[in-house]
Amino acid sequence: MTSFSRDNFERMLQRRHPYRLPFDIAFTRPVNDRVLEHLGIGDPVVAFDLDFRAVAAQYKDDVAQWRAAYSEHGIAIPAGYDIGWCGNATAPIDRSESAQAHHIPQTFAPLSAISSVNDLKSFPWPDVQDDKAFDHLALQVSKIQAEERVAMGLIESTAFDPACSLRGLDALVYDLHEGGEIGNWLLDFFTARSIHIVRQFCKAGVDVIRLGDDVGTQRGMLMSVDFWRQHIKPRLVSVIKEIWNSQTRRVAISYSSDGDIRAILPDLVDMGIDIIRPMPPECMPIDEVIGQYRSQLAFWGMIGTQSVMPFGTPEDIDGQVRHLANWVRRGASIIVSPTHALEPDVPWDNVSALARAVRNARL
Amino acid sequence: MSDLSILTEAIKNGNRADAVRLTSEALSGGDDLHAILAALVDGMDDVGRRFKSNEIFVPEVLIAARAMKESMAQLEPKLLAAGIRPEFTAVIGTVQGDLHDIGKNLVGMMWKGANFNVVDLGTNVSPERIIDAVREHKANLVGLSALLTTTMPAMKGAVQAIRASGVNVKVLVGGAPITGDFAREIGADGFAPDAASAVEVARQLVAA
Repeated sequence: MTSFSRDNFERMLQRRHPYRLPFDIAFTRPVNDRVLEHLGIGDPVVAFDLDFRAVAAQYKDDVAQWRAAYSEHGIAIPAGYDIGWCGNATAPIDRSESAQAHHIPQTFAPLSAISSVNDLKSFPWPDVQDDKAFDHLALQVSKIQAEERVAMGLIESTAFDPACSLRGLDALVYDLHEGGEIGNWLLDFFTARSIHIVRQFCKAGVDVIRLGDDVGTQRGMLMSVDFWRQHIKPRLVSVIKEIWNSQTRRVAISYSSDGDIRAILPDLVDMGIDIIRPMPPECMPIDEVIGQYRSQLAFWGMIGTQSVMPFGTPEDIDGQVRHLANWVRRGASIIVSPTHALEPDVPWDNVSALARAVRNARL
Repeated sequence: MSDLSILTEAIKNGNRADAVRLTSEALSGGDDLHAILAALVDGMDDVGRRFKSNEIFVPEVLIAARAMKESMAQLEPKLLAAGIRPEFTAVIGTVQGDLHDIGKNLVGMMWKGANFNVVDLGTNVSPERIIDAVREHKANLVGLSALLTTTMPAMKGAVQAIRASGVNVKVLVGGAPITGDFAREIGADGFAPDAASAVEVARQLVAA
């Protein structure tokens, strides 16, 4: 089956008689453990014959320098928090079986009280052009493609999300509203990082690059379209242009945001986005969106993790997959995936029903 | 006497410099404290209405809430000195196991804007902490938020624990996967699909 993954994905994107539905799925650790328990295989990509494997930049950072800088600025990082790349502060995820949220760490915005760009610049920002972060990439991509799977470069926190993590949503919004330099500096820094990463992804020959920032909510945009166009769109455009400039063959560009982002879909189409994900059916009327944009966009996701995966029956899941397959027969380009990493409340029967339904779907 | 409608406009527009200045001027001009408070609350009510109808979005709410907060910092000491306190106290938190806070924070801001005394317990809050806070602050209302389907059972557990504790408090629930049916099923008193509705429902619950 996997011998056709890349070709099939390309056919799906080009609406050129794909053989089957491309399939992607992400698990939290407890669900991953169940995969091993039920199927005897620890790697979900192999266990479910998934079509995609992810690659990412591996920046190394001097955590001690960040801790020292926080201390120097009088910033108290909560006890037990880890410091990650660019000084990101997160609580360790509770991996115990009884924990309820396995894919999202508690965060602390360490730069929320910084009041000048000069102060901001004094932190030990890493060199985003550091090519060592990509030493592994070409080999990894070639191995994935040798298996005929689709190599996807992940950079779904493109600019807004990482700036929010460090500054905090409220402080970042105040900065941008008041024309403050701090918010713009952070957005520019992460945009420069993203530009370098996509350049390296293209160089390594990935098949698809997944960009994104969470700009949607359950009932619409997090921010106005004007705000998005002013502060986020131009940065995203510069990242997309870098992909166009760097690609040696056509790289598909995906844009991810949770929530309802219908208001910016026309812009995303104009900007050259090929794929929208994860299209949560609890937030967006997916049939309406697919019907309207099927000639311009491909759609990745649509199996709801707030609805059918935890609460539906295997028959419900089968019905949803058949429905999506029907859209493919009507000319839409679809990659089936749950809309988020599966949490432990998803019954195993539903996980296996999804895999079965995708592989049995007639196109 | 000041024209307090200008203060209301400053809150609506999130113009904190004007809001703070106008609050200060109203106070030094001897305006009625209740009237100043009402002008601020009216501004946030309007923000809530426009947020609910998607005329404005989270950034505008945050900016207006900051103007409200800074104006209240001027007004609150005078209110306290005059023995005027918020009529109702609400305890709010994201349920145990859930770390999401944007929705919960928005509701907290909107409730403050509606002149509730808000005790924000943060995220990943155990039922015991909620009950302790209700007792300590003599709260009239509890707001529980959850974003993950995996934490919906924790919301049910929190409601059950609150009921079992015997504290006399109304419970309002909300969050992305939460529905009115689920709220009824777990015994909550109210459900709000968004932050602006949370103000309306909260007012109804505490008035009942």
